[in-house]
Amino acid sequence: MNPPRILALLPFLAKGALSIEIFRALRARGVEITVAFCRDESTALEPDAMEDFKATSDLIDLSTMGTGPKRLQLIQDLIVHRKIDLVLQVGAVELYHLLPYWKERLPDLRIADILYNEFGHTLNHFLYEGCIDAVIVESDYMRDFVRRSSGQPDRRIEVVHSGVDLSDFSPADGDGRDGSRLKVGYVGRMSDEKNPIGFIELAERLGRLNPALDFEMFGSGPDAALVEGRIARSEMASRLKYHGFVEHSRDALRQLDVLILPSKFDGRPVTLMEANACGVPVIAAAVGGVPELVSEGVNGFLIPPVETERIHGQLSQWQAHLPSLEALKLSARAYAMQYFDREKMIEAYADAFSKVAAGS
Amino acid sequence: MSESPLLSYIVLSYNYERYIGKTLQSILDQTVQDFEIVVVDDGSIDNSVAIVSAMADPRIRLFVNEKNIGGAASYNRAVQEARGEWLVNLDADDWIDPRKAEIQLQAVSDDPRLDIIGSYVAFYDENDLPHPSADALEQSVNQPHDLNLVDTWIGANYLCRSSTMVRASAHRRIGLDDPAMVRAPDYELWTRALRLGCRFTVVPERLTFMRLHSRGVTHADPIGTLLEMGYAMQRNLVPLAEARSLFPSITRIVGWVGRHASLSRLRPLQAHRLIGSFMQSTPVADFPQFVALLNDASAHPELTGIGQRSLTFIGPGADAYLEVGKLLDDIKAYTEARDYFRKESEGWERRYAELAQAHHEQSQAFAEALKRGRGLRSIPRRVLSRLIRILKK
Repeated sequence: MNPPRILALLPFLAKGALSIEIFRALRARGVEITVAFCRDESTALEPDAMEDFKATSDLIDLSTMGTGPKRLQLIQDLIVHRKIDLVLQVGAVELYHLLPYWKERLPDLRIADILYNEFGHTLNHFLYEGCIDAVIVESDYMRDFVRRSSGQPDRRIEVVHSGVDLSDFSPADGDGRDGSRLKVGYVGRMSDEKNPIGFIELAERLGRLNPALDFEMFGSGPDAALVEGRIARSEMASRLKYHGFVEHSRDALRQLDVLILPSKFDGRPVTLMEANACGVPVIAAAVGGVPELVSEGVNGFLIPPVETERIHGQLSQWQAHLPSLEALKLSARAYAMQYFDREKMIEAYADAFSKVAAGS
Repeated sequence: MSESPLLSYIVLSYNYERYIGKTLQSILDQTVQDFEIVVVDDGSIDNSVAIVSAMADPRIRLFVNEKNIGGAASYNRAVQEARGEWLVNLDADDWIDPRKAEIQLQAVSDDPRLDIIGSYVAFYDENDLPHPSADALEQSVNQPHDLNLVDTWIGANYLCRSSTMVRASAHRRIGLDDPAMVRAPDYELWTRALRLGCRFTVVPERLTFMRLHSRGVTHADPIGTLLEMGYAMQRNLVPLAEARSLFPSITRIVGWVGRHASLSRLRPLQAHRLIGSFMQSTPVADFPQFVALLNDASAHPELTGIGQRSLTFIGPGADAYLEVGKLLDDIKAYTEARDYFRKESEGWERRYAELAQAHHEQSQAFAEALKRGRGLRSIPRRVLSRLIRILKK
């Protein structure tokens, strides 16, 4: 079966976006992919210029194509001209309403929507789901959500478990630990749903109970100033450092003994997988698809950030017996190698796209 | 103490031991002294009750809830206990200007049709200092909003409860707070009052001093707030807009909810039915029944489809949206063209000014030479040849 010719619709081009990584990897395997994006978000996010796609005329900037019927026709012409088999909707909110019109005009065209979490543009998905052939999700949690929320009988859902580059994300050499002091960290976007303030509050409570803990925070985002201000006023300011944006999350994760993931809601958080790949166990809130990623005692624990005593107990146990922490770190890495392998993810995406395009 | 005082202050107390003394003292210091103070403590675990009890003024009537029943239910208890002609709200962490009641009563005397009178407010932090965001907040709230208009209430509540004085007879007519509501019971009460014909005004003076804490109840739960405000609009504003033939206001309500950032945090079914509920008059008795209606696809099943159809009117696919998009594209193109030609024009102007300056200098040199009587020979050769070039042109 020949791989399908794909048109991927993106809202903007953000550096490090999982979808772009997938398209690059598939392109390297000979899959023909055209990427179309709607707007420039470079003032808010580090952009990926996608020069590789541009060089072969496989990158289309829709912001120059107007917003009305002209855009509908131009993209339709593109679909016909490039003999596109599969349109992938990857969060381009501005284009949802065009999907049914392409489907009406080109009935053989297959359309798949990739949904990473329950919020944001998913509401549009359920408005236009009648013209969408399949939904691709990353977790069993999202599969159940789509199944529950869909008004379509026999809604087709493909689950592709995402992963990370295990050679890029690998453990640091040596632990560099200062006695039994532990480094507890937050790595991620500074935004309300990821709950960085929850981490700071937890750090304050843990810090009072346990003087041999240090806290590190990495990442940027809309709440960065709020986080900075909150830390400046914190009693734990001397032991809680905020490092801001990091070029590569691996460099942040390798500094930690344990990653705290206090999210209020989440899909399949990449940071968790990256942490495990770097040999860092996690203590995560059991929200969204997170419980699918954590095997208790193997790569971390599911504990909400408000349960200070339980987290304190776990950290103290490691401090009292450091070999148990070392064993957990090895086990976290092994878990990542088994379940969070990016190569397997790429295979699975290629397979899912082919199946959806073939209608099989 | 009068059995039927002019004013009944309603103070809801819950763990504000640090502030409630100042709150009550600001009432005792009022220029209008015909009042009672109904304090309802909702099971504080700090020393609030002891502080209130220690204030030896017979006009203070303290009611302590046996268990915590929430803000709305506590408010209802206070309203039922109050005996005054006017109910005056003041939260246990806020305080008021000594002339507040006097000024608000003067407003009633000027317009006896009034039922609900608010005041402008000033925002303070936990330490009695002006709140860091006070300017921005006050600029939004302290405006001459006409609270008797439906549009003023779409997605906004400019009436701070702590600033209000409510005619007791009107309150009895409109009913109590919905005890199941946590995030926006005031908003529901005010919009219900509007629907049932109450008249509002706000005295344009900062007479109420409100304390803002770092994390307020309303902002802690945007989804709950959206649902409660949605309920209030569906129950009160939509029927009133319809009765007044304000149909564009209904589209504004749908637009406000449809573009709300938290709408996508609802389950899709809930979100679609919420929109649908504005478009079809479905009577509901209270907030829990409204939530049940949104969650149950089999109750009024048509609500889901109506909501979906209505959403597309305000989404990116709607013609109006597309036209605006085209307009914005055109404006962008025109602006770019304008900036380009402005830059070019400035360049031309600069070159002209340089040439004019050069011309002026040469003319002067020429005139100087003639004046000295030495004719053209006195002009430097360089200037002369340039002058000849210009004249040839």
